[in-house]
This record gives sequence, structure tokens and C-alpha cells, in this order.
Amino acid sequence: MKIDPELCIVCEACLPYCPMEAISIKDDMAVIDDDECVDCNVCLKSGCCPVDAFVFEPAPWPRSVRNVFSDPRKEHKETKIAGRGTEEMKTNDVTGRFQRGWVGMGCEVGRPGVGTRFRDVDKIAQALAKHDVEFEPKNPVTSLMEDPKTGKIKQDVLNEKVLSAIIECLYPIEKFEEIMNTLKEVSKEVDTVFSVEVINRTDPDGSYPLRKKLDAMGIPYYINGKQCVGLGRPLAKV
Amino acid sequence: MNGSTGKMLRVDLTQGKLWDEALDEATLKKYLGGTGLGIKYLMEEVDPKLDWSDPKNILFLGSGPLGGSRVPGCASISFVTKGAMTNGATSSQANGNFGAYLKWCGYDAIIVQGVSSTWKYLYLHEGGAELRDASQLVGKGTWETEDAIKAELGYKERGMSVFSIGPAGEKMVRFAGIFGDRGHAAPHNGTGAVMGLKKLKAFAAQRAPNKLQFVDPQKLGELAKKTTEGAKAFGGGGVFNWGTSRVVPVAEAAGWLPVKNYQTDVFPEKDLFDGQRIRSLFQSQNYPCYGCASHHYELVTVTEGPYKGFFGKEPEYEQWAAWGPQIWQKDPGAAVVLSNECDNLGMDANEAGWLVGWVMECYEKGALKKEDLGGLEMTWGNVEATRALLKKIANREGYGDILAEGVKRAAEKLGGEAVNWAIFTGKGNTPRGHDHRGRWVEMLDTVVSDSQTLQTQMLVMNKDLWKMPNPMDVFNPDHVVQAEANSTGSMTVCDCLVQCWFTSFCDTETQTEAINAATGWNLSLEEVMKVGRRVVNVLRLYNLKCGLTPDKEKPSPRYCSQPVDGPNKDKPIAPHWEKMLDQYYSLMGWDRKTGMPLPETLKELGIEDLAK
Repeated sequence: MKIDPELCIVCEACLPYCPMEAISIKDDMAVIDDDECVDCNVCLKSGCCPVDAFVFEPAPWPRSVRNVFSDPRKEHKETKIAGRGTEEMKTNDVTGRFQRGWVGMGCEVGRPGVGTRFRDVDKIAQALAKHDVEFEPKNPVTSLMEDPKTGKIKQDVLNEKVLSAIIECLYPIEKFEEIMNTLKEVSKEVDTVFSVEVINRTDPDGSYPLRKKLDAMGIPYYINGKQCVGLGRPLAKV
Repeated sequence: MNGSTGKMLRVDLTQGKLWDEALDEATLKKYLGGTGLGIKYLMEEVDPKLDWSDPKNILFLGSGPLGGSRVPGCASISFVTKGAMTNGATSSQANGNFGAYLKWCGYDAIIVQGVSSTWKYLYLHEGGAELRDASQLVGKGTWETEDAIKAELGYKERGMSVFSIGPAGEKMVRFAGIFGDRGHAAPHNGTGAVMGLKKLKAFAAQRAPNKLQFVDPQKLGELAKKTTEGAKAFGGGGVFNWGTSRVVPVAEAAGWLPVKNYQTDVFPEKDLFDGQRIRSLFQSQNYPCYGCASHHYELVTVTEGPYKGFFGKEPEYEQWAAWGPQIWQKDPGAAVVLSNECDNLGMDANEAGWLVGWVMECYEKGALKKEDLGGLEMTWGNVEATRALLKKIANREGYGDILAEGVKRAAEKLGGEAVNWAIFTGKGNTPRGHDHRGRWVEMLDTVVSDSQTLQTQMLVMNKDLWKMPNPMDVFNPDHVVQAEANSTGSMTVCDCLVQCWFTSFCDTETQTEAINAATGWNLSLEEVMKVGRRVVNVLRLYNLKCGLTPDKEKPSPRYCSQPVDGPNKDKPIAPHWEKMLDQYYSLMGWDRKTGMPLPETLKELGIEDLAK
């Protein structure tokens, strides 16, 4: 995002709108810190600028990743949806991807106000890859990996900053404790915040299969029930 | 020089020549800029005995030490000239961006002298200034002129500031003003008529890169914030959030909304004109000036009534007053149309409102008939007839030629009882769009003013600093005189800076800090306040030489009549008038008979040399 210096009137109306606090006043002009700006377009879309001074021109690779990851209304070409993860994470309704005995995991790296560089996403993904997880092929972060076996993110995007990115993967339930321990370790090395979500099918009696493991590990958790209402293909065999 | 470009542009239209002149720091310290600097040059260069229409009259326009900085409201511009309404000194300010763009183009001020043989406009840009042919612009309205110049030179909407005259200025209508940046105006005392005299159609300044130097830009930034916070809080933020239209119902309740040419003070439809309602009802678009976060100024599309779809600027309070209650007209959409039409023709809405209201009263009472007015039926609230009449005035057609002289001269010409229905001052200048019978300080200010605009403000940020009576009884003659005399110069400081009152609210303390952060002059608060009083006194010295003597300091009979209804029915100002003037002169340090500032007054202000 840029501010047209011929239009800005230094009224400061935009300053509170930037989720990354990347707008400041320098030399009697509102300017955007190019390195901190994640191209989320919140300033532009808010309509806060009385003189329409915000100018967004889609950037070439690798900066182009900023906009697709940070603008919540921008569609990812990998997923065909606007949003950082796959639809499947939320519903499990379409392909029945998360079967009993498996854990679907998402790591949401960065939040508004903090953001994340891909070098931090890279650290987490590489740590996960050591446990032979299967990265979701249709996830936008996976599409940025040099090799989904290693989890290594392409070199030229490592310094790109985005509002947040979600790593999605799948692994057998037996690996849950070791992977959680790895994530605890890697969290000390990353320069941002991330949250972890796990996706399970319930046991036949309706109970939650990871409850005992989480309690034993002393990890607080919040169960967010998503109902499969049969609108997709809940019985899909995969 | 910090806070200044160190130079002004001299334009000689007779010779078609332009040159730079240096500005010295001592003069700037004494007068700050804007109105102060302008009156200094008017005093030095224009013989007060000359008529305003003499080719030797000059038109000064200038910014001040904060112009082009990010302190809100300081992109405004002040025009100074010998004006057409009073044939005396004039200072009239317009908001918008011209002051900032002018300084970014490398000049603090411009002085235009002489008269051109063909129509020209002045183009200022990063590389300098030039006069260009304006023959294709003749007859165009002020909005169209703005569009045409931007198109001709290839500038975007906000890439250039254009201030121009409309047909009224070209025809030297006495109350023609200068309009720009979509309806901002310097309308008082015939500034536009002086441009018409000079055959100068417009000033156009590029938004050049800002290369100004200030002593302490960081401090200026903090003061900019402080100014914005002050403006947000002042009066509950009414103007900041909703513009001056917010004032209409407030004014009616207090009895100072002008209704039906002062024949009543009751306007039952007042709430239809409330700013908050207008902005919820009509489509509004914020159109701020450089440096300003306020929602004071917006553009508007009418969404209901017979003028649905009309696009223009949102009228300011005074225009709502003129084109609503004053002419007994109750459709806000029509008021938007009349405001913009009056701007586009290039006439002061206040004077035009008094004039049309007076014509309507004359029509009602039979003093003017359809035949006199070229077939127009000037019944109360008749929008289409008013539109047609405004065009006749601007083009000086038929009876419009007489009305183009302003309400005082037109009424005196018609004579008889009709003179007693007209609202004007003895000096010939125009009251603002209020019923001043409910606002005595401002009536006094209007009648004695030598700038032909406000010299003081009842609503100053720090009432103690300006020694305002507190608590104040606005109908107590002693309080009124003290308020007026003690705070004289508070508005003049704004006009020297040149800062919009709706951002500064005469916060002289912050203004002083900002002047020092810009220039490094270390002026004290007292010195800055003194500049205001000095400029008021210089204006007075000049006007006395022009023949604007104390005997002319009278409101017209209708202007100071006793309200027949409303909250101020039992409060006539006329019985107190002479005594109030006596007291006022004494507090101002002026001789009651001659009007001259006393020797000690001149000495205190350091202007003894100007009294000779």
C-alpha cells in the first residue's frame, strides 16, 4: 500500500486503522513503512481517508504473498476461497478428511497487531515436518514450501510479512504428544505468536479422543464443536 | 527563513510583469502575515483618497508563518484590498488549500497591482509564476472556472487550488467575492469586484512539493495534534462532527437566526436544517482542507424534494440562514441549490440574502412590483424567482444593476419607507448571517469593524486570557462592550496567521507556541495578542483616512430594531447604542470625536509613524 504524497492532507485519520501500526507522519506526510505493511488493504477499504490518498497496486512475487495472506477478502488461488486455511478444516463435511485415529492440525501464526514473517512460519513447518506429518496440499502455506517433506519455505518469501498464515497438516493420533512438545520448543524461537488447533472426529460414543492426553499434558483447551449436518458427503470414503 | 519562504510575488497587470520581492523578518514579526502584512502594504501603497475602483488599488493575498505546515486550518488565505462596499480597508479569509499551495510554490504572499487590458489568470507552480490568457474563462462560474483551469493545465482535483471570480466579479458587482476549492470564499467587501476591475479571473496554484523549513517540526506536529483535540472538544464537537449547519436550530432557540428579513425570530422549520439531519438525509462526502481532520466542510447531493440529485457544496450556516429562514424558504434542498448558485455566480451569500429578503419585503408591501423586477414575482420563499434574480444581479441586468450595488445603496436609491426595511451598517459593510439583535457583541463588532469581518470572537478558547466578562450577560451593555473591546484582535490574530477559526477557536496560547516552533522568534503571548490589536488599529488609521469616520458607525434602523417576537422581544439595543460606543472608544484608547487612536495607544502598539 502507498499513500499518494500529492493527496495526503496529514489529518491522521488513517493512523488508528492500520493493524500493523505501519502508518506514521514523517516530514509532514503520512507514510507507510513498506517493510511492515502487509498489504491487507484495511486502510483503503475502511474509507477512512477523506481525500482517497491510498493507492494499492498488486505487487510482483514475492511481495505478492502479503496481500493474499493478509486481506481477508482476497481469494487464494490454491484454495479458491477467501481465508487462510481450507474449508475442510472448518467442516470436515466435504471430503471426510479427518478420520478416527488421525489428528488434523492447524498452526495459526501471527495475529493483527503482530503479524508474522514467513521465516517464523518456516521454523514451525520444519519442526512439524520432522515428525513426518502430511501437509495439506491445498493449503496456501504448503504451496509456498520448497518440499512438503521438509516443510522448508521458499527462500525468497522468508522475509515477507503477513497478517497471519495457517499451516495445516495431518498425522496419526499416536504422535500427538511428541508434536505438541516440539511446538512448545519451537515457540521459544519464533518472533510472533501462534495458536494451535486440532481437528478430530469424536469417538463413536461422542467423547473427545484427545481430552485425556491434553489433561495429562496440562494444556488448556477450548472445544469448538462443528456440526456435520450432512449437507456435504459425511460418509465419504477416503 | 524558518516558517517563511522569505519572499512575495509582485504582479503588475498593466505592464504584464512579475517579479519577486524579499520579505524581512522584522516586518513579519510585527505583522505575522496574512491580514497584518496586507494592511501594511495597503497603507503604504494605496492612497486612501482614491476610489476602490482606481487602477492604483492593489489586491494582496497572503498566508502566514504556519501556512503550509500541518497545523490544522493554516492552509487558508487572506485577501486585503480597498473594498467596494465601504471604499475602505478589507480583509477577507477563505479556507481551502491556497495558502499552503502558495507557500509550497515559493511565496508567502502576492500583490497584484495595475489593470490588465485583456482577461488573465495567474498560474503558480513549482518553477515560478506566469500570467495566462483567461479569455476562454470569461462568463464562467467559479466551479466551472476551477474545472476549466485544472483541465487546461492537466491537474487532478486536489493537485491544484483555484480561487476565481464568477460573472458577478467580472461585472464588478459590489459584493462580488473570490471563491475556490469548491465553494470556499473570501466574500467580504467586494474582493471579487477588485479582481473584476483588474481583469484578473483567477489564481491557480499547483500543489508543489513542500520544501518549507520550520525550526521545530516535531513540536509543530505535537501542536497540530493539540489543535485537533481542541477543535474536537470545543462546543461538544458540534462543528467538528456536523459542520456549521448544526448551528441553525441553536440560533433559532436563542433568537439570533435571521428570519424573514428580521420581521420575526420564529422559524418553525428550523430542525429541517439541522446539520446532523442534513448529513443523515443527503449524501455527504467529506472534503477537508490540508492538515484538517474536522468534518466541517463537505460536498453534498440532495436526495429529496424538487432539487433531488443536485450536487454541490454543503452550505455553511450563514448560507442556510440566507437561503432558508431569511427568505422564508423551507426546503433544505433548495437552500443547497441557491447557495451553490450564489457561489458560482461569485457573490457574497450574506449580502445577497439581505438583498433578496429586502426585495421580498418590498414586493410584499408594494414598494417593488413585478414590472420593476423584470417580471419576477418575488414572493417569500420563491426559489425559482430568487435564482433568476441572482442571475440578473450578477449580470447587472435591469433592476439587477441597482441591486448589484448592495442593499444599502439600493434601498437609499429606492427611498421612502423601504430604507427602513433594509439591513446594513453605516459603513456599508455586511452583517454576517445572524439576527444580531440577539447577538449584541457581534452587532457592535460588525458596525465598528475596520476589516469588514469579525475582529473579535465571543467564543475564544481562553476567556480569562482575553478578559471576557465571566459569567457574561450577553444583553448587558457593559458586558457587551467589555467583551468586544477586551477581546479585540483575537480573530485578527487568526487572520494574520492565517488560521481557520473552526480549528483554532482563538486558542492564542497554542497559536503562540506554534508561531515559535515554526519561526524560532520566541514571541510572548502578550506580543502575539498585541499583533492583533496593532492590526486592528492600523486598519482603523487607514479607514479614517478613507473617510470612514465614527458618525458612520451605526446599524441601519431595521438592523437594530426591537425584535417583535422570540426570546429577545423585550431587548432593544438601540437605546444603549451611543453609550456603548462611548465606552468602547474609551476602552480601545480612541478619540471619541475623531475616531483616532490616542497617542499612547499608538505608542503602545509601535505604530506612531503611521498616524501622520
